[in-house]
Amino acid sequence: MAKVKLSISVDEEHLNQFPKIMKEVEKAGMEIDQELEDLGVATGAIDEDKVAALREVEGVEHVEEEREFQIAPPDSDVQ
Amino acid sequence: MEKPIRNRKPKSDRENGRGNQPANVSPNGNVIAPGTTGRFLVLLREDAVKNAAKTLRDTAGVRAMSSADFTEGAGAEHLGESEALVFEDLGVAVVNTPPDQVKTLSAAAARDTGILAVEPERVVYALRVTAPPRLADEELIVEEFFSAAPPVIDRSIVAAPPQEFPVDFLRGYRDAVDHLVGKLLAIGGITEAAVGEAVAAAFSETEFTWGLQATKVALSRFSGRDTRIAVLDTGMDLGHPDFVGRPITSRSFIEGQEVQDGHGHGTHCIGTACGPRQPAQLPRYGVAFNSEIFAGKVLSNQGSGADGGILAGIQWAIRNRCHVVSMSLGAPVFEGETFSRIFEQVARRALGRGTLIIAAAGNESRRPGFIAPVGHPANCPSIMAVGALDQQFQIAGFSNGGLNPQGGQVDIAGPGVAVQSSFPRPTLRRSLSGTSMATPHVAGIAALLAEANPGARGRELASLLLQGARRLSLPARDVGSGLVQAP
Repeated sequence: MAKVKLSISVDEEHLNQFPKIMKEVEKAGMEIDQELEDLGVATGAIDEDKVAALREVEGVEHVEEEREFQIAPPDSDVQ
Repeated sequence: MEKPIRNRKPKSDRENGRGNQPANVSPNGNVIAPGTTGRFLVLLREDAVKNAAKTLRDTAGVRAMSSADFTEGAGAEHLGESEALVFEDLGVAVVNTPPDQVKTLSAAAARDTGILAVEPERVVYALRVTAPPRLADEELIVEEFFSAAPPVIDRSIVAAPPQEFPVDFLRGYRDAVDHLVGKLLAIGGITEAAVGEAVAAAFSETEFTWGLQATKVALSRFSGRDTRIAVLDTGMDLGHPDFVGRPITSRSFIEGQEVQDGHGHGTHCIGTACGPRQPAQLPRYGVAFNSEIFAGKVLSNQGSGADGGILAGIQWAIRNRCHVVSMSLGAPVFEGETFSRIFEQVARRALGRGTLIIAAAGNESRRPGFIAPVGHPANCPSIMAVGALDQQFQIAGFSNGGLNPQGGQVDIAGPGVAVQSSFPRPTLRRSLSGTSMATPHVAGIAALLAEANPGARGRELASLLLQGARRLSLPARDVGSGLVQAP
């Protein structure tokens, strides 16, 4: 099963239960890389077919696939 | 409450009737600076908005009315002398007051009265504050503050049902503003473009880069003292001679790579935002030379990164109580694509903690033929998006535009073509172009504003940046509220 890298955010109502929500999303299959409690956000990866279930976890507000960034090479005049 | 102001004639009629009276004198005989209305904007602290009427009365004897009391839209141009109109949703009061009262208000701003700043109302801004506050839900307020783009507001005005917003009244107001702008420009027989050209010709760069001159940083008495700027980028050349002795906090969020900048982009951006007052070699290129530098490496030496590292960098900046986060990075989005809900939520939480995030609009345009939309994450409503200008004050060919609604606007513009700044050893100095170069100009100036207005953080800081920007005769789609200006 292919894994998707993603970020999730915890809604305002559940911000004070952040550690508990982290346990719940792990139960839903997410492998957490970073718990960013100040932001109410976690990043990590999950099997493609479990993304939908992750969205259903109480307290999870948004789930987004990770985007990648690439700036111009150093020898480019436009950065 | 009665609405006496609605029955008065629009200002345009009154002005036309005044015949020979010069446009830069208000009806009460006070001299008005060019480009301003003669009224003043009072920026209120969020928790002080409720008591604004009392504060204004107690500090300056001003009679304040609330925009919420007017069911059909309130217009500041109908204010009588010593009257104020409070826009609760915007946290701003428009005050029609003689100069001696302004002094009282400015003095009040220096004390802890809930008044954060007082400044002349600009002609274009006036159009913006007349937008109906009741239409603004939380999301729209964010956009009000983060985009001073009049055309967008214009559309919402047209879309508003007549009973909610009197179109005739607005037309009258727009005519008055147009009329006033025309008169002001005609006074000296010059146009905004001509002003730009004249200034460009004067950019010699012997002492200051053109960017520091165009943004008035060169003339500012502020230096970013006691402010913290986080630059999330490719890291920094920590041994660059121009930064010897500067307090630098740094951290890498790229696995297996040190903060030391193996690309050059990060060192260049930090140079613009935080570079020294006296570099080893002139011209000076840095804005906030007394700011504390937080160099977060979220892009690799190969110039690549991902959401996860950037989010981690933002949390690091918030925890370190940085006033500003400068992010000269972005990923292209399609026209019609919506912004990231997660970055928007993060940006709001950052603002709540007093940290303003500023990001590059992106370089995917190929003007005049093709304009690309503002990229991720600059397209979030609560992140300030920066476009790039050249020395002629024209939009850079690569600079992205505000094509997507809902936060996808360009909010402000900065110098972004042929920008000299620091570069890793042994090069030391290099000229680069991009919205990446415009962004740290805005971030550095945000730090100057934070120093000048110790009460203003987060959203207030954003609104000071937008209000202070120099208006340009370019589409708001490209430059937002205009060219960023130092206090």
